[in-house]
Amino acid sequence: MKSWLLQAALQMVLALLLSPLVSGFIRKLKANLQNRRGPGLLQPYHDLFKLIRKGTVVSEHASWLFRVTPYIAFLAALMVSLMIPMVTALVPLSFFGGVLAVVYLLALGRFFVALAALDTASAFGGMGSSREMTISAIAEPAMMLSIFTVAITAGSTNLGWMVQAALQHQERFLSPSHILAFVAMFIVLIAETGRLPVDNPATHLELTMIHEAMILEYSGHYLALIEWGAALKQLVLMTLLVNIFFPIGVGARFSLASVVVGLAAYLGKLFLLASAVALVETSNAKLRLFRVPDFLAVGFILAALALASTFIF
Amino acid sequence: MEDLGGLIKKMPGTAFFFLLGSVAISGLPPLNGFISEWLTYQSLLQGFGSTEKLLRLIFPITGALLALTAALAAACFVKALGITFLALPRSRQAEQAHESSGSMQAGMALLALACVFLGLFPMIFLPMLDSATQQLVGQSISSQLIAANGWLLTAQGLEKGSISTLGMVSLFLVLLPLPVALRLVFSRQAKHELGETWDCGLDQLTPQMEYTATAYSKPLRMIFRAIYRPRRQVQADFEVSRYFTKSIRFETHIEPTFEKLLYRPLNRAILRLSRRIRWVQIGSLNAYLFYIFLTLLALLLWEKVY
Repeated sequence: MKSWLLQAALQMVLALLLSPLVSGFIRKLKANLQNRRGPGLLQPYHDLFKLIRKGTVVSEHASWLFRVTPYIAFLAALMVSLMIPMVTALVPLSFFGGVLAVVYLLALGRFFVALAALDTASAFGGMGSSREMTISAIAEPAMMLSIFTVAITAGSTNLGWMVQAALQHQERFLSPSHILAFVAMFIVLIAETGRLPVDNPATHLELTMIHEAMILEYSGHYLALIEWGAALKQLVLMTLLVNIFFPIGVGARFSLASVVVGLAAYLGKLFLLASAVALVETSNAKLRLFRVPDFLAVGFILAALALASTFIF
Repeated sequence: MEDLGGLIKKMPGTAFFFLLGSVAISGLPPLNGFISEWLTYQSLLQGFGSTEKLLRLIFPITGALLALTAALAAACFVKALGITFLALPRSRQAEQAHESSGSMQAGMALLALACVFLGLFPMIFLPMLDSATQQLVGQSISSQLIAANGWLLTAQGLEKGSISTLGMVSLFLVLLPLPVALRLVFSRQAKHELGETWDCGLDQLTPQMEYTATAYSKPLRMIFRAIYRPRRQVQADFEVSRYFTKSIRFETHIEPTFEKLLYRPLNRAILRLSRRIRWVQIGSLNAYLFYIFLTLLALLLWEKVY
């Protein structure tokens, strides 16, 4: 019981501290790839700390929904970060909900952010909200299908068990179904975290922004919570990707040695994936909104192929 | 819907119950829709394991379609709630709206409460399904779904997956002090004020500038245009140059595909059939007594033969 609590607390602190770093890392690497120096790795921490201390301006048209949304979005993402395997396969709160709960809790956060976007009567908010809900609707089938592929191979939706099952059958890592499902999930990651070529996180250009348009009216600590929540969501999805598909090095027990090895392996895999995201972002132009469904359809077809290939191989 | 807006301030109770209902129907935790969806996903996963044939691919595909449905429902209800209840009122009537009476709110409250209760305590209600499954497959399911301590729902064993909406809610409450404390510690002295929504430097934000319900669902209409076949017609009257429009007429139309290809033919077939057999009802008591006699005879013969 005591070690369980300790583990949950440690995982929470790790998620809270690591998530801005991943965003900063991607930003820095993108800048370097574009021959810019870019802001420092720690810039997101400075941003968050500055925002938390600042006052807020809330629209006079907004209702209480606008004020509670940052808390719901942030806490939903934080809760999810306690339900996923990060360093060891012993997930602190895996019994509260497996991979399906992770997907739906993130959807809950998105539901409220999309509502709050409409709350300020701004046309930008409406536009961002409409686009976000549309893209998430078409990303969902691909995501669920690739999750199903992994859950079926593992015979469980409990994330801890999924990792342990994958660890016992390491030969599966390079099986076609595994790789196809991984790529499908990577496409979903790009869409869900609002990255190029689906959405550009660095722009405030009115006609192209999606996520930024939704949160345009937020300021001060509300904005800090929303941004931190988005960073946590990104960390959660990336962790799922690296640890469910390639649980190399994930500790099987909660001991000092396995935690150290697990942490090193986790950080290595995580930053490798973050580099891949930065590479995709630099080498692709933003897609027109109505081309995004084609991109996500590729993800869906890959996931369907992954599922079909579990029969052939 | 295009005429509403801002009702959350005038009708706080109605808006709150509508919000609960929207969260529930979109299948989001911790309400009843999520429990149903979770049980459906789990049965689809188990269904996949029940057969070796290629046909079992249908289970995950169904799961993907269910995910699509849930996400589309969320989009629909963000639109319904957001356009109707949030932002600025779009008409005088919406501006003068007032809360509905206590009894009408009580009706909604009851349903919303049921959503919350079914979501948080599914283990109380699942045993009620046992008599149905007992008849159908000869098994009671609740004992397989409820974990030993009674607070978790499992898919036949903890290692196959489990869920606890009650756990999620308690976790939410346990973690809630964290962001609240952040606010209290760091931005106590900061100014928190009301301000205008950014209106691109215009004089004032008017309801006409808000996103409309039609605009909100436009991306989805465009993506599924093979089904909806949206058509629109814009007609502008202008003087001198077309940049000085005098009046503008806008019409949009979508094809009710499912209605046309599924419901209407079905409806028509049923109506035709019922017209055919209408002569049976001739309105004479003797004839009806004769029908009863015939039915009795048929049942007796049935009993005799089998």
